[in-house]
This record gives sequence, C-alpha cells and structure tokens, in this order.
Amino acid sequence: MLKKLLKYDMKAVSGLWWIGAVVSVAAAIVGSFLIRTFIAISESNVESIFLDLISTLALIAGIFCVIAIPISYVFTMILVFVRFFRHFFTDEGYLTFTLPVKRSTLLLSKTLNASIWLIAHSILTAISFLLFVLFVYPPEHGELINFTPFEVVGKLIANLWSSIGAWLIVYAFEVLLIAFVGLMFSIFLVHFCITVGSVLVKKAKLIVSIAIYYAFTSALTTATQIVAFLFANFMSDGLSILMENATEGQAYAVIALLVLVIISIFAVISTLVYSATQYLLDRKLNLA
Amino acid sequence: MSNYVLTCKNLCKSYKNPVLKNMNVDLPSGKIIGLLGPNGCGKSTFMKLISGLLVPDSGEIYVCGEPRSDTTNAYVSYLPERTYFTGGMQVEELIEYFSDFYGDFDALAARGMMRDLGIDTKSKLKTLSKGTKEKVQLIMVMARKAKLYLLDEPIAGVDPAARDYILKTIIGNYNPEASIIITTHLIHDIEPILDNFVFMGRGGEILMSGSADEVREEHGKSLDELFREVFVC
Repeated sequence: MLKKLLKYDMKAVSGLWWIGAVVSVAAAIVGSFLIRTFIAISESNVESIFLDLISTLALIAGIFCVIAIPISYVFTMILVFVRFFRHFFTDEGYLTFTLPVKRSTLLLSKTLNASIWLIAHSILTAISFLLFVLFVYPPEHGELINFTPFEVVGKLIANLWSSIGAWLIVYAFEVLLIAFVGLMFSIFLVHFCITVGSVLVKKAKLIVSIAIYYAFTSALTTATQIVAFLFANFMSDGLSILMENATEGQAYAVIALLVLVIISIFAVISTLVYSATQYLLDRKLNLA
Repeated sequence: MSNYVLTCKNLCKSYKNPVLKNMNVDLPSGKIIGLLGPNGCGKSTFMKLISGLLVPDSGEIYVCGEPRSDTTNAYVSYLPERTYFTGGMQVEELIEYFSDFYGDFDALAARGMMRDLGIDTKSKLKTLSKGTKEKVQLIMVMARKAKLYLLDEPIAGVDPAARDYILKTIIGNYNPEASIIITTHLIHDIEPILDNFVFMGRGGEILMSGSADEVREEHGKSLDELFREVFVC
C-alpha cells in the first residue's frame, strides 16, 4: 500500500513542482547573465547614462532572480505541506482515512513524499547556485564559463585535507548528516504543527497550525540558547582543558563526537515529534 | 464469523455535548437498514465512528466480528454526506485510485454506471456540478463488493429523477450478503427498498427497530407515518 500511496502523493506534487524547478534553474542562468552584464559594464569604465541605467536595471533584475532560487524551494515546501494538510484534514480526509491503510503507512507516505521532493529541490537549488557561480563573473579572456570558483573551492579542500587529513571526510559526513536530520526535523515539525492545529480547532486550522509552529520554534530557539549559555558558562572551561591536553587526533575526535551528540539530540527530538504526530492521528483525529 | 455485520457496545461520543450515550446496536448481515432519526440525533456521528473518521470516547465497535481498525475499512464502503474528491483528478483517475486501494472494487461496473448517467470519465472532478459529484461518489461506493455499506443521506442532494436511478443502483449493485445502512430524511423515497429500520433518538437511544414489513402489517402504517408519530414535534 505504501508504494501506491506514494505514487499518488508524488503525482499530486509533480504537477506543480516542475514550475518551481524551471524557475530555479532559469532564474540562476538569467540572473547570472544579468549580474554579469552589470559587472562587465562596471569594469568597462565607459561613462554613459544609458549604460548606467542598463547596468542598474540588470543588477536589480539579477538580484530578484537570485532571490527567486530560494523562493522556488519555499514553493516546493508549500506544495508538499499543503498536500499533507488537504489530504488529511479537509474533506479529502474522508477518503484518505477510510482507505484500508494503516495510519502509520499514511503518515510514512506523506513523510517520504515531502523528503523526496525537498531533497530533490535542495539538489536543484545547489545546481542552480552552481550554474549561477559558473556564469556570473566574466573570465578575463572572454570565455563563457568561469571556473575560478571551482579552483578556489579545490584549494580550500586541499588546505583542509593537509591540515586535518581524513577527519575532513568525517566532518563532511557529519555535515551531510546534519543536513539530513535538519530536513527530517523540519518536515516532522511542520506535520506535527498542522496535525495539532487540525485536531484542536474546526475552523482556521492552517492559521492555528502556523501559530503553533511559531510558538514551537520560538520555544526551541529559547531552549537552544539556554543550553548554549549553560555550556559556555559551565562546560567550556572543562572542554578547553580537555583540548589542551589532547593530541591533535584526539581533539578532532572530540569535535566530531560533540557534533554527533548534537545530531543525536536532534534525531531523538525528531523521533518524538514524529511519534506525537502518529499518536494524534491514531487517537485524537476527529473529522467532523 | 459473526452473524452481525456490525456490533456496537456502550458506544459513547461527545463533542461539547454528548451525542451518543452508551449506544448498543447489533445489525444483521444481508439487510438494507434505514437509520432514521431527527436532526442532530447522531446518525452521521455514528457512521463516522464506524468508518473511523471519529474516535469514540468509550465503547467498542466490531465490524464483521473484528474490532474496528484501519484494516476493517476494507469491509466498509462509506458514502459521507459531503464530497471528498481531489479536484484535479479526472473521473477515470478516481476509478484507478479506487481500483488500486480496494480489492473489491469493480471498475467495469463503475464505468458502466457512469455511462448510464451520462458522466464523461474524462471530465475533471472540479468541473462537475455538485449533484453530479454526488452521483460519482455514490457510484464509486456502490461499485465495491463490500460487506457493509454506510450511506449518509445518499439522495438528499439529487433531483427526484436521479433518486430513482440511485435507489436502483443501490439495490442492483450491493452484495446480497452485505448490509446497507442508510440515513435519510426522505423516508418516503427509500421506504420501498428497506428491509429493516432503526429509529434513533437523542443521544443515540434506539427508540424502535425491526422489520419494515412488520410495521406495515402490524401498525397498518408506512414507516414515514410511524416516524412522524414517534418524532412528533
């Protein structure tokens, strides 16, 4: 059943997702050439009101194009979360919850659907920014593509490798893990807030859900700041002493371990949020 | 397997006020049952509890002898009082959707009924009128070979001509071993197809139940007349 659910969930999102995808790539390419025009005119040192006007307009339009890239990601977020809301908590829920499918499977399908589209759009956003970087700055000899950013990144990685060696792989893995756990946490949290809002009230469910989301994220931010404050005041000295007495390898290991602890805490919170959503769907959902 | 297609024990449900209070019901297999009562007596709530859209405050529900769960949804074909379609879907896509999820769904029968009612299966659901959407929904529900059909006001929103077709559809398409529970205010229209009836009062109290034929024979009245007597304002 999960495969079938996922098929329909993905089909529902794909109908509009491609618009965001095209906007993202097109905005990157168009934006890069607009800003490239601005740079080329600025560096030409030709004084002309007309050229000044063109370059200003190109810069403004280019900035809008760059802004459109993350906005297209938000568009995908809206698509997947609206799908979750409509399929579960509007009249469509009458069909969804009378299917011979376990509610855990329904929630899993929605979670996978959101993950797939958001990961896909994250990759697309990365590609868009890559395209932007490749085209935005005109190379010295008039080529179309500027590979300088790759050279800079390559040198940075080489420097890091020579400094910390194979720990770079560990940290890179941890960065990917943070990105993944962060994404899953954000999906679980939005699903949870929509579910709480829809269980609590009969009308204005989305507005209540958004309010709950802000309340929850504010509480989480405050809690994080308190933990950071406590850490800075009570544990940083101990950590400094530990690092001073440690070998280079041990110090890198401690940092990796600390990051892993933070990831684990977020993973546990994510699991709790997901389980709470499941509980609400199982025990508290009343589609009046 | 239980002889009862549906059993409810001490079923309670309240919103702000109690809607169902310790409701006890045993409904037999192979019958068309009219669940009749005044507005707000909890008929729709009762159906939603059976189909899992509401969570009971307390009590037990058994469908075909099994405790109600997401799995028992496979036995129940539920027609709610409102339409639940995804607007962007075509009728044909909806048929595929039901075929995918319900092993007992007869797509050929569904297409045949759509044709009979002049509904183009290439039409998008959002372009259909309210009445046509209700007909499509009824066809989808009745094209299943379920064990229990729950029809909440199936003829309320359609014109009198279509009512006859709908009632024929109900009789002609349901599995004879299955039961149908129908709620409606249009008792006169559905009376000819009812085997049994249940008069439901406030709080889900069962005021009267039995065979529709016996009412006519013993009381010399139609169900419609008896209803007006029992629920006199």
